[in-house]
Amino acid sequence: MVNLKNVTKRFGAKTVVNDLSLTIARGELFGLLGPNGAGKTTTINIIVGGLLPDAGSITLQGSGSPQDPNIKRLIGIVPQSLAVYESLTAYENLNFFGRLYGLQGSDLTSSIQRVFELVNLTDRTKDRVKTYSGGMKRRLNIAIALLHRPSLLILDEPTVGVDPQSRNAIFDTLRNLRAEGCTTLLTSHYLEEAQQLCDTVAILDEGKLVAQGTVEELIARHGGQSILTVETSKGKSRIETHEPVQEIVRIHAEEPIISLKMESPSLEKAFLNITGKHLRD
Amino acid sequence: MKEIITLTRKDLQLLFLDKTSIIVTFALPVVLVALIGSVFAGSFPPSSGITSYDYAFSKVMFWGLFGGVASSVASLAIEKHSGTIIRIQLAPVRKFQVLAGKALACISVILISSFVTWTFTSVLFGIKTASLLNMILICFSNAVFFAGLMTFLANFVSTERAAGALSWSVAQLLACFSGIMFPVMIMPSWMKTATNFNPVTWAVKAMEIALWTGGTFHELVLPVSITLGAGLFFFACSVYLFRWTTQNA
Repeated sequence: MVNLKNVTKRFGAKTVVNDLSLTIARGELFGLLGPNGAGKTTTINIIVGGLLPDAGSITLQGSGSPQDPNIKRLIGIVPQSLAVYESLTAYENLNFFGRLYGLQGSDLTSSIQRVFELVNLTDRTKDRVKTYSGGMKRRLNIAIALLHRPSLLILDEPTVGVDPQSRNAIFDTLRNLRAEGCTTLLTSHYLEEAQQLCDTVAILDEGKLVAQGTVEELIARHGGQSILTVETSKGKSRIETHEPVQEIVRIHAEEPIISLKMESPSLEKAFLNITGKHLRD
Repeated sequence: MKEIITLTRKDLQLLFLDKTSIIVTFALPVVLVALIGSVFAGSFPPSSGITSYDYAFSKVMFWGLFGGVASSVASLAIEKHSGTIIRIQLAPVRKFQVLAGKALACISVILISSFVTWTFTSVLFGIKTASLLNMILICFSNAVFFAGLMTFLANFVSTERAAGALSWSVAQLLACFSGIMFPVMIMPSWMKTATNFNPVTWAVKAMEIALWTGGTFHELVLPVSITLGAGLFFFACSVYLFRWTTQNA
């Protein structure tokens, strides 16, 4: 569905995306992760045709260019900012963006109704967006991208600043879309989000691809060991192991366990092991 | 064309929801004509063929047009700031169409502003209109010029504050060198020469001809060509700049 080959993008002397090659398969929910300034948003802008790469190539749907209007019709984009008109109603927003994508008449009306239902906003369609909560605005931001039934949905940090309920609703929407066969590219700082949702994850750092694989593969390769904090009559001990169950059985056979805490390897640990712990600004 | 109309409709819808823009663009010129016309009521002898209100209208109506430009520049700055412009650019719409939609909205606002100012001042102060047809033609060419200028200025701003500052600074400069702020005849000679390079000077001249004497084809062809040409030139530059900045920045 998406194929980036040796893509490089520079802003002045700074190389923001450096020789990046990526392939996103049809129907996949693909996570693009990385610290601040890793080049995620620039990569997205290149994929959707908002920026031209300085080197390399990008093809969508086999051979299409993202600059081609027919290819643009296949893409739905949820920008990081709330790209909605606050003075207009939610309905007016959808009506405007739907028309830009060539929808009209009953097609437009039914599409608007469908996406309102998909993001649970049916009871506030005629309200001005400025009266919406942060979570509702985020859901509307997603609804606009889904209006024209894109086969590639790109979401740049779609859950920033939303409460757990709205976040959950957004997750449900993404799962439903995956079930319908929509290819999804997601960037997020919330790694547990990516762990829950994504089939495949790529990690960028300073514009370079530093790791790629399924969530399970990345955790197995870079997530480190499980950490057991075990309390027995002899006292508390902290054990790092790849085989936590066998270790628990072994300890319990020697001495009854009073309390036990286990930290499993996670995508967050894998991410920190890959990108390091120093702050990025 | 459908895309351009969709973009224009949305811009007009947003403008008419903004009370300040409505006041500056539609109400302020009428108030200014009333004010300036009454202050200088005794300064125009009957032999001049025009009243102070006629004179005030031919100059003051341009402040409404500057208001239309300022609110349109601000609308693009708001779109850049909020991110809606990204969404529009990524839709299957050409860069030219995005700017054409904005320009058409600006043209509509300017024509409405001219119509509102002319209607109210005609009813209230009996503004002289020697040739209505020529006045409509001049309003249209002025609208094209100001819309082109608007799209050009919009390339250089990314916040509403910057949009206001830039639009009104340029407006003051153009007004200063065109006879809107003070008459050309009292300017020093270098300034008189400079006014010839300002399309607004020609817009004002054309409006005065249409309103006060009606004007012939030969009288109007030069000012109309200059304002139309300048508007189209600014628009072409804007499309180039817009393409360049959105692809590279």
